[in-house]
Amino acid sequence: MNKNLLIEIGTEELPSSYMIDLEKSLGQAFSAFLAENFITCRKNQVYLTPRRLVFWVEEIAPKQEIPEKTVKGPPVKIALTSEGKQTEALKGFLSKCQATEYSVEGPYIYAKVIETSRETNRFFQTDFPPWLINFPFEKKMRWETWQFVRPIRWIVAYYGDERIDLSLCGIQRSKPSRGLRGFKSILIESADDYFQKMKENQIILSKDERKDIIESGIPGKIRQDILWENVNRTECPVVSEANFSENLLALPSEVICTVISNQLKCFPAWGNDKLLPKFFFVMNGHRDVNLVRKGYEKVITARLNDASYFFERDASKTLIERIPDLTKMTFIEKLGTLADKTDRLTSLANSIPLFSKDPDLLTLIPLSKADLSTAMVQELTELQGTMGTIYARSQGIKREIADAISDQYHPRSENDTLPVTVLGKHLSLLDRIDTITGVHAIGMTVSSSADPLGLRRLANGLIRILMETEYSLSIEHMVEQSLQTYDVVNQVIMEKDTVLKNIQEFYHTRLKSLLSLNYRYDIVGAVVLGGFLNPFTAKMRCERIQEEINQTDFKTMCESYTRIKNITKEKNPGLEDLDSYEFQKEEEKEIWNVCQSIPVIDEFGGHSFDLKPFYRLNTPITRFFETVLVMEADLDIRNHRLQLLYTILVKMNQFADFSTIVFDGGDRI
Amino acid sequence: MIGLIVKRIGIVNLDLIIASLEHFWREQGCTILPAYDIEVGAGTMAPFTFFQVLHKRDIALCYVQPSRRPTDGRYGLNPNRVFKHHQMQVIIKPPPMDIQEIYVKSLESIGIDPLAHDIRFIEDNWEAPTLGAWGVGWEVWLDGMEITQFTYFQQAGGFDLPNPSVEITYGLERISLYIQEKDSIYDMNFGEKVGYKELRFAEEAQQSSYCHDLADKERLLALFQLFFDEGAFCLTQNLILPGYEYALKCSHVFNILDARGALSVTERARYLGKIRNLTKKSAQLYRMEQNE
Repeated sequence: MNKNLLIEIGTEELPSSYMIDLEKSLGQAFSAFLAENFITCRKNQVYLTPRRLVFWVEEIAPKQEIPEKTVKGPPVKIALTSEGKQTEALKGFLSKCQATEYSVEGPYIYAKVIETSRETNRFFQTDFPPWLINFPFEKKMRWETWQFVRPIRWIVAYYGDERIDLSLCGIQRSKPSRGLRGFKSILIESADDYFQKMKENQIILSKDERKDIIESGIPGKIRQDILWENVNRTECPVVSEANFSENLLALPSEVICTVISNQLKCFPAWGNDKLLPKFFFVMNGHRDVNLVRKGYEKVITARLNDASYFFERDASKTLIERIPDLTKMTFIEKLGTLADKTDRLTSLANSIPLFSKDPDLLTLIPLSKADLSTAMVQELTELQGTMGTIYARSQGIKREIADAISDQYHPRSENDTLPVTVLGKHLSLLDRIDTITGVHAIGMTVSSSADPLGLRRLANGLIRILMETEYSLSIEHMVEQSLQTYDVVNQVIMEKDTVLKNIQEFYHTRLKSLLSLNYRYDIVGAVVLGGFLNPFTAKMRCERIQEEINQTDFKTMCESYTRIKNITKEKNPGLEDLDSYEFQKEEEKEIWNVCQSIPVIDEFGGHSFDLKPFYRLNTPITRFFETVLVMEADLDIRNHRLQLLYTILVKMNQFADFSTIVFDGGDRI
Repeated sequence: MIGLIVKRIGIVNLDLIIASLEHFWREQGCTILPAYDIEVGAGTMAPFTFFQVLHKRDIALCYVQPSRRPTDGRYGLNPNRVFKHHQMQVIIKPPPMDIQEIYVKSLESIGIDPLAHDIRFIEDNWEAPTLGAWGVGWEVWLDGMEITQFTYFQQAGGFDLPNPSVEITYGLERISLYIQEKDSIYDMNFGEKVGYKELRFAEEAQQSSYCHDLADKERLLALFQLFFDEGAFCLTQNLILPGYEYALKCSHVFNILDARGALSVTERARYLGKIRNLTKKSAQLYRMEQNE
């Protein structure tokens, strides 16, 4: 009968920030490990709690089931003597693959290799430890002579009720499992009673179950990151609430929430949209709740008193008076101070017509980073911008300008909202352009694994603002202007052309990946050809193609486009006299007339994303190809025909490279 | 034994917490040392830790270290933050297998019941750039309050440590505040007959006003340079400990300048670099000496 198998690796507390990913990747790797070793089972699962890595296999086969393998050996004439006796070569081959029998097929010897299938218990004893130790943990540490994600302190390993004597990082053989801190240890004598025993001792192995417990204990919407942090910090979450003095509600609610969430990892409590002087905390296990509550109340009081101290101290200087402090604060190493940054933003704004005419923006820019020098922001960096707005409002700064100080940091993440105010949007755009340009200028680029300054997030936000606000702005132009501001203020370290090329590639990849979230990959590829793009128009063109893709007219147009692309080989014949040239055939004249009537797509002016004008070319082009020979012997005629087609191609290219669109059936035309 | 006393008398003054913890760790085989006598920002900077983690021999030490952090000075007006607080530093190499459990027992010895309280090890890797040191570990939360830093040293003086030490740093004021059930540090007892306020308030007020408002930048910069030069000189003579002590002096002067807001960003980075040079050089020389 198939038994269950359990391995519990007890560790010191695992890093909570990393557990969700780890549970997933370890689970996949464990399944693969079983499969590769021909261990069959009904189900396998990895559970992570702060102090355990649990490997659970249901109804595991008693032995490996390694299939027979046929191995090709030496040629017959080498393997056998003329009398049919085995040569040394054959004996060597057979002993190498531990086989006694062989067969002859064609000119070669073959041997059946039967690898010994080991008993499950023995297999895990020998093969599981090296597999686990060699798993590519992202964060390993060293203790004594060992390395693992955190020190291993106990192991429980059973195959049914048979103990598995595993040894890992100096911990040998099975020991009792440990309970919650302060509680007694847990004696496990069989894999089968593991879950029951854990339950009796309040340990909840499933992270989803722990999550549900916390969620159901707290009313209203709660921050997911803090929720998961608590899930990964508890084996038995118990939610309770604590209070603080109502006087402390005098602090801005944003400050109180940040202290509760980010510092205490607890959850604020709301009633009728008003912050209440209480919050929810999560204990690990059923403790003396009055005692624990007292601790949390002490912490919140101390933290909020500290925040009040910062709040009062910040009042000694207005934001405007703080502007000079920015000359002492680094923005990014090698890219000057925050004062340099705001200077650059001012020059950048002045160089772009959309921004230069806005006096509020020019007032906002120098003020926009002043809150970074406040004690509150230095202590609670998450409050950057938020404090700026709070202080600016109380200091009588124009409401629009005050609000834009916090607004500029939106969107902070993929799911965050865009800036609400126009000023906030504009500053957000300028700021993102400046940072991305500067970081590239000092030779740092984003790699697949590393993006320490969060450039991807910045660029995605920038592109989203342009698209969703329907701003038809060229990133290229802004980047060029931005590079000039670096020339003035700092030394750009790398060669300008290389920098521009790197930035271009960076935005190109970002734009493609963002568009691919909503549009078919081939459509995105057809629209985003390369170079700098205008994100808004790119999005509109994708949208239009996606709408039209099933229209016959659209397909015909794509076919025409591909023919033109192929015949012209995308080469410009360089003739400039089409206007005055006398076309010979009616078909030529017709498409030339239609072509002239198609509006040029103005990337940055009026938005025409209509495909209909191109459809007007469909019939004339079909007729043209039916009746006109492009490759006429007369070179002048031939070149003018090619020039005509090339002109059409260029016009269509402004919309997309239609030859890459994939139609039903998967064929490209 | 002292744990029992704690339970019986109920009120635990700061001096009894120190005595209990020292007694506890002594029973665990630690040698109890007097505090190191030069200004430091943390117990890690005392040579008892900085140099002892670098060699290959076993160690087990415990000492109370007064730690000065000028930027935290609040003129004696903040109930929790102070210019000078007291750390209890335990440093053991190699770490015992059940070091976390031993630590929890040490809390029991000062009357903290691990069954009733919520004791948690929260991921918090520690780093001290001026010492070229970092480690992996946790801050220990007692009912939401950070009371201890628990670290497995991985590197010190820029060197990978062949046999990592465990460092346990208790924040004594925090623990005492909690056990004595007071809201302000200045309301608690240091000893049976001495209040914390009586002993320390004037020092806090004066040091804060000195560090935040009055310290003379020019003289301090000159002092920094003098200490630095003397330290660098000692190290050229292979005088490791005297050289390192001057690095600590530089560090304290730097901290005062920093609290005074007297340093620009670039100056700050430059002075930190200078301190790091001295500590790193000291560690190098120490390792060479040990390997001879």
